[in-house]
Amino acid sequence: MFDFETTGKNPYGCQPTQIAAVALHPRTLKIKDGGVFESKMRCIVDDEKAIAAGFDPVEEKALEITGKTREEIATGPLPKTVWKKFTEFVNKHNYKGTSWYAPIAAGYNINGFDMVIVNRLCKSYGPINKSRGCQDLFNNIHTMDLMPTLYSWFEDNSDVKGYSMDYFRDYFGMPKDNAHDALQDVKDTANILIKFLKLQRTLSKKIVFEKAFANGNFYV
Amino acid sequence: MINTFDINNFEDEAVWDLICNGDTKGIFQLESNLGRHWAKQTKPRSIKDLSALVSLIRPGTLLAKDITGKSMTQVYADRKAAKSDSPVEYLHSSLEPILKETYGVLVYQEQSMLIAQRLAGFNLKEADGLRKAIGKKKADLMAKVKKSFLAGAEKEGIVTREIADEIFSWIEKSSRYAFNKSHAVSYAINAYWSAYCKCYRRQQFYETYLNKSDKKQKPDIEKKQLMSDARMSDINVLPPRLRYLKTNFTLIQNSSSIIYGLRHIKGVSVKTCKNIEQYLADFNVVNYDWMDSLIKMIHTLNIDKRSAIAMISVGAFNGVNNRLSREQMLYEYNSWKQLTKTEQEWISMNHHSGLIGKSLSESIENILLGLTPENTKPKKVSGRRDVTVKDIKYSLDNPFYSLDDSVVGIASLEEKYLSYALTCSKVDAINLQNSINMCKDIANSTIIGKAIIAVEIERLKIVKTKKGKNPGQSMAFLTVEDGSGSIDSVIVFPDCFAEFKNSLTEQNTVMLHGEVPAKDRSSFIVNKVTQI
Repeated sequence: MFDFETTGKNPYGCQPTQIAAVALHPRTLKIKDGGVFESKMRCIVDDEKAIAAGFDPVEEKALEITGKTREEIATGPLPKTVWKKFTEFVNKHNYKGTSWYAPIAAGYNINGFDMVIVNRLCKSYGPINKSRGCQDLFNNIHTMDLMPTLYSWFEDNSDVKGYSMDYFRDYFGMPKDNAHDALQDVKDTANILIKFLKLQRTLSKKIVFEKAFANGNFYV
Repeated sequence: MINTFDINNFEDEAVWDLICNGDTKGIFQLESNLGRHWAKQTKPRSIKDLSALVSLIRPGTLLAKDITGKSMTQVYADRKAAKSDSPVEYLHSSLEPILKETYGVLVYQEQSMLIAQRLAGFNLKEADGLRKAIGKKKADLMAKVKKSFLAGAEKEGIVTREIADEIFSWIEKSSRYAFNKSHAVSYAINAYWSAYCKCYRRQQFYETYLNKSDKKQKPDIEKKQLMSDARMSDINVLPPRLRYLKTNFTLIQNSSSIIYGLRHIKGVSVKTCKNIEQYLADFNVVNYDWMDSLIKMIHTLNIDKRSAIAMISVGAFNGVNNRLSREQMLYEYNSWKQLTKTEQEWISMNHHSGLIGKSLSESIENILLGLTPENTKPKKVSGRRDVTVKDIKYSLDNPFYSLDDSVVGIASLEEKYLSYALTCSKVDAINLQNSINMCKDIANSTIIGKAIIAVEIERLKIVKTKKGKNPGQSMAFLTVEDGSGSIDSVIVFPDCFAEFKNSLTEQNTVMLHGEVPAKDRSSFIVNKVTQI
């Protein structure tokens, strides 16, 4: 489960300023020993230089959200150094060392945002799956994005007015002290995901879908 | 203990006890689960019994059924155990002298030949013709042999034509499984002597077998089974350490421990082993710290990345002066690989100058980033490279994740590279409140009745039931292990399997509540599974 803090809203043009991840045990749903990763990432803050390097200029709004100054995000290790260590960290949790057994990426709105950045970083620094042309760090097939799960659950609930992580932090009664710190965001997302997984695991034992349409009662 | 042995003496009780107890891992022809199971069932006490057993655990015999549906192996076992419902029967009393040694079961091809000689007056050549006809299942030849068998039997007059007919068809059916006796006896003799070695030279037995394990079809499984089996006999295989770097599995003098051989570590190349062996002939590495190992061994000996990672992962560079965690060494090694060859060479060249720090970070600081003393030529990285090297140093000083070793981490690395977790088991990480039993207790049949074991599921085999209330349901057989060893006769019946199947996955650590049945004290029947 991971999260990036970035310099903008566009996953194709922003620069990551921070990355955090936790490795969850798939059965116990607890953080594994040594399963926490966190690092700042150095950004190009000069607009002209950023554009020359192929990035969008740093958005003031993004700095406001993350509560960081331009000076702060201009320090820290280079994305390449951090990414090398991040891949070592993820691979440590791939017990057979093949793509099939690679950890499944999870997070909030990762399909639309964070995975795009992962793909970008993998294209620059590896590992890349040449035949698919995408990242080869996490499982290639599955991701667990919490946002569609929450949308499915609350789609018929008019009390829920939004689908941002901030809204849900309020909704679930979580403290907002460190909100938009990558590690805190990851932990908050993990808590919600684990709650849903526990529910699903209890329900899936009781509700059986096997041959559910075998009686011919289709809805459409 | 017998110090000198007679090659034709097969009467050592201790050796037969070992076979009868099913302690047959590594014993020629009997080392499979099947061999162990039937050795316990048939309890051979002589070469005669053992050669019958070797013949009977072949696939044909196990599949061949008698009229009641029992396999011929089971029939033999029941008759040998003198079970009341399995009396020794012969189609005709004249067969008794020939079939007596195998309790009326036609085990050997030679027995068919003898029957033909006795009842149908076949000479040796004709009898061999019968063996060939049956063995090769040639219909035309068979018809011819049958004709002469019946004609011969009529002429001899020992049995009636009907019985001769019945005996012939019985011999014909046996062709699926009957085995060559001379072959079986030589197998049995080899099995006896390998059991003898296991019985009286147990440490050397494991040392030799482990060294030969790479010749097996599945070396990983073979090594794992041997190490687990050795542990059950209180013989420990120790992971390699600086003090004990050996190319092959090596028994430590005057101890019951065997050192894991470097060449058997997954990923370690033959070249690496040779280089290290040569290096150890000239240098004493016992007191090396991590930087010594990194520079003098990994760098200077040109140990490839795969081999280096494998060796670090199993703690091969740990020693009296290197107590670093494996995670820390792996992290530093990966950072070392981010340096260019020239930068590595600069650090290496300065190794003896006293400039090298106690850690890689200090070495980078002193040598690459310019804190060079006056008497050495400055070797500073510059320009864009300077930024990267500073970054590498930053990541070493401020690791992005915890570099402490965890029990699960060590066990996983050792399973990956050594095939078996030697230092600790994944189960050791769990703080167990309940009083629990160990796999070793069950394997040694020292407990009976209710038991709880905390284990890692090593192998899961799901099968469909054929008998019982609802045939066709899924049930499972598990091979599980904990720090004391492993057991492979864990049974999860359909009701229990349906309830807990989600927790029953390979590599998962679980608590199994169940019981050891009085009938088969080496098995374990699961009633409840708890995730731990």
